[in-house]
Formats: sequence, structure tokens, C-alpha cells
Amino acid sequence: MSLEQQKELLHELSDLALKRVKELGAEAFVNSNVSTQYATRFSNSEILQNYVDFSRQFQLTVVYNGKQKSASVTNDLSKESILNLVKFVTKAAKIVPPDPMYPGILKEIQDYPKLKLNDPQARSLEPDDIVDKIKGAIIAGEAVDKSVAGVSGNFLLSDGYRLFSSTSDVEVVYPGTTMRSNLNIQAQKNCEESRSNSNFGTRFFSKLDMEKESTEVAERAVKGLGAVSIEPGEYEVLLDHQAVATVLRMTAFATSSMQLINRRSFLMDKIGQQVFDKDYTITNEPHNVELLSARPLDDEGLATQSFPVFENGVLKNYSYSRLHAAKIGAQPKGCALSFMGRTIGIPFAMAMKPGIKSKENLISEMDDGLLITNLHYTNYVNPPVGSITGMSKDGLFIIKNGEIVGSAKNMRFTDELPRFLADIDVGKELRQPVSGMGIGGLVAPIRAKTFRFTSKTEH
Amino acid sequence: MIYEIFKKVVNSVLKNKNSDYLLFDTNLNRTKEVILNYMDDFIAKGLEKAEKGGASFAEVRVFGYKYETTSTRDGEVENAGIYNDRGYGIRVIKNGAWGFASTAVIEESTLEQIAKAAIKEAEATSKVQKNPVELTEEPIMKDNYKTPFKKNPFDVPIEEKIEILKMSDSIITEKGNMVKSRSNSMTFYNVYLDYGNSEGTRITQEELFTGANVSVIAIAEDNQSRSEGLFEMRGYEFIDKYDFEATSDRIAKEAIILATEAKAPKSQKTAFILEPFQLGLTIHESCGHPTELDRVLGWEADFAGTSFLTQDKLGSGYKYGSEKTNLVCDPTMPYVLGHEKYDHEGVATKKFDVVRNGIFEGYQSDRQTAKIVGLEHSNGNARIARYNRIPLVRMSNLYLEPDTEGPKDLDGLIEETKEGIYGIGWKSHSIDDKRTNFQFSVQIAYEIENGELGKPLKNTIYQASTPQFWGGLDLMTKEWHIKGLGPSCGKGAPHMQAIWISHGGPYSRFQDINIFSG
Repeated sequence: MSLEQQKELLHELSDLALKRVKELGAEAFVNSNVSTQYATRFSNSEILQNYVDFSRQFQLTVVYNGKQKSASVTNDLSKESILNLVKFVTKAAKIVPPDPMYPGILKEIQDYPKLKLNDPQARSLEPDDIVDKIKGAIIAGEAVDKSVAGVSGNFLLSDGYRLFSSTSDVEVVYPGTTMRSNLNIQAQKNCEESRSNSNFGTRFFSKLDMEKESTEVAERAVKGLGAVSIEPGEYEVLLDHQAVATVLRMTAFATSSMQLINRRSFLMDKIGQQVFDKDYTITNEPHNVELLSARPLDDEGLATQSFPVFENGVLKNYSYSRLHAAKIGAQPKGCALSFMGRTIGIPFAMAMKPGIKSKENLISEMDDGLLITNLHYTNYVNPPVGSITGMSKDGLFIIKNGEIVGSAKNMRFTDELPRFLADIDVGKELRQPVSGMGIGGLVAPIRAKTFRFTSKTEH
Repeated sequence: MIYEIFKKVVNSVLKNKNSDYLLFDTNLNRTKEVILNYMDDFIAKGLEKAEKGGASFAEVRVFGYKYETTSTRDGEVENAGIYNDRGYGIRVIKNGAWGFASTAVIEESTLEQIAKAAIKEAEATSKVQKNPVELTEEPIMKDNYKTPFKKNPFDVPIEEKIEILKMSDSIITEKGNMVKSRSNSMTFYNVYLDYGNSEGTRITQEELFTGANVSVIAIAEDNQSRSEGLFEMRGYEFIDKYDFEATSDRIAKEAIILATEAKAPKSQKTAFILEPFQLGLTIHESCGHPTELDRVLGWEADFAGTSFLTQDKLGSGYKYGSEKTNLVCDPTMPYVLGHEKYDHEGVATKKFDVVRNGIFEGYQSDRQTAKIVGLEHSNGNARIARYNRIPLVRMSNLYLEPDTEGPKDLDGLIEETKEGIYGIGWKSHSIDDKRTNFQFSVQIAYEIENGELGKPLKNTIYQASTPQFWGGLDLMTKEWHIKGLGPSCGKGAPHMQAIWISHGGPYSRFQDINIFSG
């Protein structure tokens, strides 16, 4: 069945489900999607596995008496299955006690923006086209230096449709294409190894320049050889794009209404307050089609909208689901994401306001510091104070008198977000690192005046 | 014969549908019906189509799960719903390379397309491949296995589940206004695998597991959280074992202690005792992941990372920990969450040593990685999280063996500890990409002074390098427990797969551990 035929199937099944829910005296909305996903895993300069998946999902949320809600998901798109889904979810919604704060199903007519989110070329791609890109990346990476010992990484192309429809006579169907590339290159000399990494997202296959990317990553891996052990402590650091993406993710979670409901955010009750340096400006831009997470509406059917999250370091907005907004007394802004029946508000399409200095400029102004390429396994230690911990990964470089003079062995950091983001400069080059960890965004390098490393490793 | 017996069992279940849960259960029931009617044929035809396309090896894997969750937050039902996911995939080797394709439509009409797509992917893979894929030879298996359970949770009315959660919530609420947030849940998984390969292996495996969780946030002098979530490979009977009433009472009280009287520990090097759950998490991160052979080979370098336990360390007498350190992988153990009779390549799982008397002894492996490093057989660690994912080397049930000569229980262990700290529950974790430098924090801890538990501690962090930490293991109890951590272990890119695992062991004491607060 082609994607077009599957799109039609989604339309038919959502009509069927909504009609049946109405007959049972309830209201409902459907979030569903179909996609073809091409994936590749490669390691040590050879492809481990290519695979293709014809994926689909159908989530039905039923609301009874305006206050009782239940949601379930299936990927079985047979009529029998969908009718059973309706029966089960409607019955569950009638059993669940009412939540007096639940705002009910969305009834207001929304003005959904029209966004171009797909790459028409994606439909005609073959596995060989993707393999050619990977092959190009491997050749380019290996050509950088004889110490390059292997090119690894992964690639994912997803192309399909999303559908939202509801008993309020809303139906929105839109196509979408996303591509994620990850390169991890190993350099080796004698018994020593160094790795460098890059991940980025794009919507258009023609913009996917994996050869150039691979060359840069390989050069960095080679530079990483000869790493020396340095002592933990406070350093001036330049956080490169991938590291900043991690920081962005941690700050974004702290603005989620789920964290507010849980009372576990260090940003609780801080709207309008200066929480970070004045150079930290983040906007949720769901209509910016360069962002892989751009979309016209959220998972509750609200039209998405742009809003500042942090403006010149001042916290401007939290992100709410409709339920959380009602509980907190706020207005939702179309940033609800649903997973396994649970819905949270999160600024899922973030863009950082770039500065005016290039990364090189920022480095040239550093007397004594470190360049952090990537952060690994970063988690909150104590959410109410914003403390996080994690490791440097894929290249930690020593900066002296404005130049990179060598590399250092990885270290663990444990620091508070409000502390190290209190004095920063933001670079001008925007990129979109996209890891497997979800929330992404357009980010620029950040120079932090002080960043706290707390222990070291042997590698 | 096996299928005749299976058919009788399934028909008996189908006849006794007494709730909408089973009525709704079209995915798995229909899958069963498909098996009864023509699944052998379905798999055989899939294999035939793959072989016709030039595959030298092929496997057809039908995989599905039904997940039901009921949860409340601050007294309101957050959700009571079901998540159904099922489909099949065909994986082939052609020209010495892997190819894989999958679909959610388990119908014969799709076999041709999926087999061809898998072949096409393998042909593309072979263009950028240095070493042809080889697999260990494994015994041909034919079996049908179900994990044992007493009560099907999908038969239990939703009203009963909500009632239990409401009771739990009211117990927490009674603790007073320092409690600022409450949540709890119960979850049930029915996981189904139907596997056949071109070598003749044909297995069916069905798992049923149950989880429960209580979380409390209390705010007074400090803002603190306490939670306890556990899983076992059991049916609804696990809800009784979890005991929402007692757990809710204990968790709420401890949250209040944390928010009121608990102090942060001073920075120190001291003896540190871990209970089985947090011990399990420490095993997971510092022993489980670094002994996954795909990581060792660099296959996970782009996301999860690699390993300090490089190939040269296997068989070299590498000292991983103290002589008391015996870490064992045993998915054959029933009722624990990591229990499986077969892995997802149709290999029978087995018990094997990862560390014995402190010496590193073995990797977790699948058929391909085992062959690469010259092992005769896979250790049976290939697992998938969804039908549309390729198998990766995954943990199942990895634990620390108890000390048969140690103290009987926790009280005995504390009595033998002059000074130290006892840590309970997972709060935060982080470890480097080679799995050496780790930093974990526990939810609540207690000082130990002169063989007795003392004041409560909050924000307690322990940081160590893996060999140093395990080198400090000096005393363990006879009492031991395996704890299910839920489907919470993420690995693999570009599609991260979350798999269910269990770990644990005795109450264990580690010497000279860095403790600080944060």
C-alpha cells in the first residue's frame, strides 16, 4: 500500500472512529500517522545494517461529559481493530472519574498555518541512494589522515503523513519528511584512540552533505589524539553545537508544565525574572520549517504558535498542555505532545538567537579554557536547583591564548544551569543537532565564563 | 502436537472472554488465531520468498505487545488506556550482508513486498561492507513457551485498578500538607514473539509482566521526591506483592523525612551499602553495558558508546572487582523481569558468568558478535523492543551473587559496619561512554554509626570508577532480591529501543567510596 493509500486509510478510519464515538454519546480526537522509514547503521567504515519500516500509529482520545478522558493507541489499522479501540476507550472514559479541571475537547476553530514540511524527492529514494551518501562520508573521512581508523554512525529518513481529526469537525492532514545523520569517527595512533562526533538534521535530501561533515569530524578526531589528563575544576569553556543542544534540552524540560505540576523545576515561579545571561534568548518556532519538529498543530489540536521561552535571559513562558494550563491558570500555546496517553507541554521547536561572533572569534578571546564538543549522559542531579551532571565526549580541547593547543581526556561535570549560564556569549553559527534523545533545536555555540568539572577519566 | 495443545489453550481463553479487555485484545488474539490457522505457513512462505530472492539466511519475526496503564496524579486519573503494537519483520543475509524490512500488516499478501525490500536493503548494504556476516551455529529449536502467571491483569476490571490507586493516593494525602505532589500507576505488558529462521528454528514465546509505582514530592525546608517502581514477570498477582498500601505509606513518610529532617552528607570516603534495587542500577550501568559485545566492537559508538572492557581483556585474567564479585547473567530464572527462554534470534538463553571471583569472564553476545570474537556460541542476548527494529545485544537478568558466608540480612550487615552510609533507591545516574566514571545519587540514605542506622541523609551522591568501585566490594548478605527496572534501558540508533531488564543481588558493602551531596 502506497503512502497516499495509507493516508486515505487514516482518513476513513478516523471518520469511522469519530462517528462511532458520537453514537456512543461521547467526543473524541484522533492523532495518527503513517510513514516509510529508511535507516542505516554503520561502524568501522562498513554498513552494519540497512532497514526499512512501513510504520503507522492511531491514537484515539475519548472525552465523556467533558471531564472524563481516556486515550489508547494501536497500529492495527483494520476496521475491526479500530471499532474495538473505540469500544474500549469510550467505556474507559465513562468509567474514569471526572477531572474537574479538564477543559474538555477543543471546540474553537483554529487557524492552522500551511507549512511545507516535506521533501518530494524522498518518495523516489532507494536504499542505494542512501548507501551512496554513507559511502561518500566513509571515503571522505578516511581520506583526512591515515590515523582515521573507522567511520561510524547512523542515518534515518522518515517520510509520511500525520492526521489530526476530531468530533468538532476538524481534520488536518499534512506531509512531513525528516532526515537525521550521525557521524562518529575514530582516529588511532599506536594504542591511543580519539573519537569525534557530529549529528544534524535536515528536511531535504539535497542538503545532506555528509562528505563535508565527515571531513570536519575526521579532522577533529585526528586533533583529539594525544589527549592529556587535566585536573577537574572551574574552566572557561566553549560549548560547541552538540553540547549546547544538551543544555537547551535541559532548560526546555524545566519550562515544561509537567515539571511545574511536579514542583520540581528550578524555574518555578520565575516568569519575568532574569534566570540566565542576557545573551540567552530561545524562541519556540514551530512554523520555522528548517526545524525538524515544525508542525501546524500540537497533539491536542491547538494551532502551534511562536513564543519566547527565554528573552535576553528572562524567563518569558512555560509550556502547557491544555489540562496543565487549566490547573495553573494559564493559556496553552499549542505545544502539547502526547506519549502513551500522557500529554505534556514542551517547547518542541526551539531556536536560539545567534550572537555576532564566530566560533573562531569566541575561541580567540579565550586565554585559558576548554572546547567541549559533546556532552554525554547528562541528567538532572537535583532538579529544584537546576544541577546537572554528565560527561564530556567526542573531543575535549585545550585552549590557550586564543588557540586550540591540544586535547584533554574526558571529564565529568556537575554544575547548576543558572550558575554557568549566568555569564555567557553566544556564537553566530546556527546548526540543528538531532540526537536520539528527542527535543532538538537550532543552536549556536556558547562560551561560558565558568563551568565546573568535578572528576576525570582515563580516556 | 505442540500446536494442538496451544490451540486448545487459546480456544479456552477465547471462550472465556469476560471483559472488554479481552474483547479489545484483537491484536494478540488475532495473532494467535493467525498462528493457529496458518502462522507456520506464514513464516515458511516468508522464508521461502526471502530465499527465492537470494538470501543465504533468513528469519521471520512476528512481534507484538499490548501495554495497559492506569495512573493517577494528584488524585485524578491521568490515563486508563492501552497501547497495542504488533507487526513482523524479515531479516536476511544476502551477499554476506544484512537487510531488514518490516510492516504492521501481518498478512500473507505483504510477504512478497517485505521479503523483496529486505533483499534490496541487503544488496545495498553489501556495497559498503568489508567483512561478510557470519553467525555462530546454534541448535535448531522448536518450542512454544509462555511465562507463568496466576491472574491475567487484562481480565481485571478498570474500576478495581482505579480503586487501588485511589486508596494509595488517599494514604499519601493523609500525611499532610507537606505532600505537594502524588502519582501512582500500575502497568501490564503482554509481549508476544513468533520466530522462524531458514535453519529450521521455530519458536513461539509469550511474556506477561506487571509493574507498579508510587511517587511523592514533599516540600518543607527542602523540595524532595521519593518513589518506588518495581516490575516482575508475573500477572496481576504482583499487585498484591507490591502492596500499594504499605508502599504508599512508607514512601510518603520517607518523602517527608527528606523534606524536613534529612541533612546533606559531608564529602567523605567511606563504606557505602547499597540495597538490591540501587545495586541493580549500578550493575546495569557499570557491568551490564560494558559487557555488551556490540559496544565492545564499536557498533554503538555513535550513540550509547563503547566499552573499557576491550577484547584483549577477555581471558586475560582482567581484575574487574574484588574476589567477592560474582556477576551472573541468567535469563532462565523465572518470574524476574529479564526472564526469557529464547532470545530474539531463537537461541535458548542460558546462565553464564560475566565476572567470577572478581575476574572478567564473559560478554553478552548475539550470533554475529559471538562469531566475530571467536566464541563457539551466542550467549543468547539478542533482543528487540518492537517488531520493526533489528536485534541488538541487550541485557536480560544480570545480578550479583550473594555471599553464602555473609551476614544473614541488612541488619546483620549494618551491625558489622562501624561507620558508613546506607543508600536506597535511584535518584539520578550518569556514566561515561566507556562505562568507567560514574556518578549516581540515591533517593534517601542513612548514616551508619557503630553498627547502627543513624540520621537520614538527602541529596547523597556516590562517584567512582568501575574497577575501583567493584574492587571495594567486601561484604554481602545471604539475603538477596532481583528487582525489575521496567522497560527503561535505552540503546541503539537511529531508533532507540527501550528494553525491560532485571538486576539485583544482596545488600552489599563497598569500601572507600566517594560520597558528597548535590
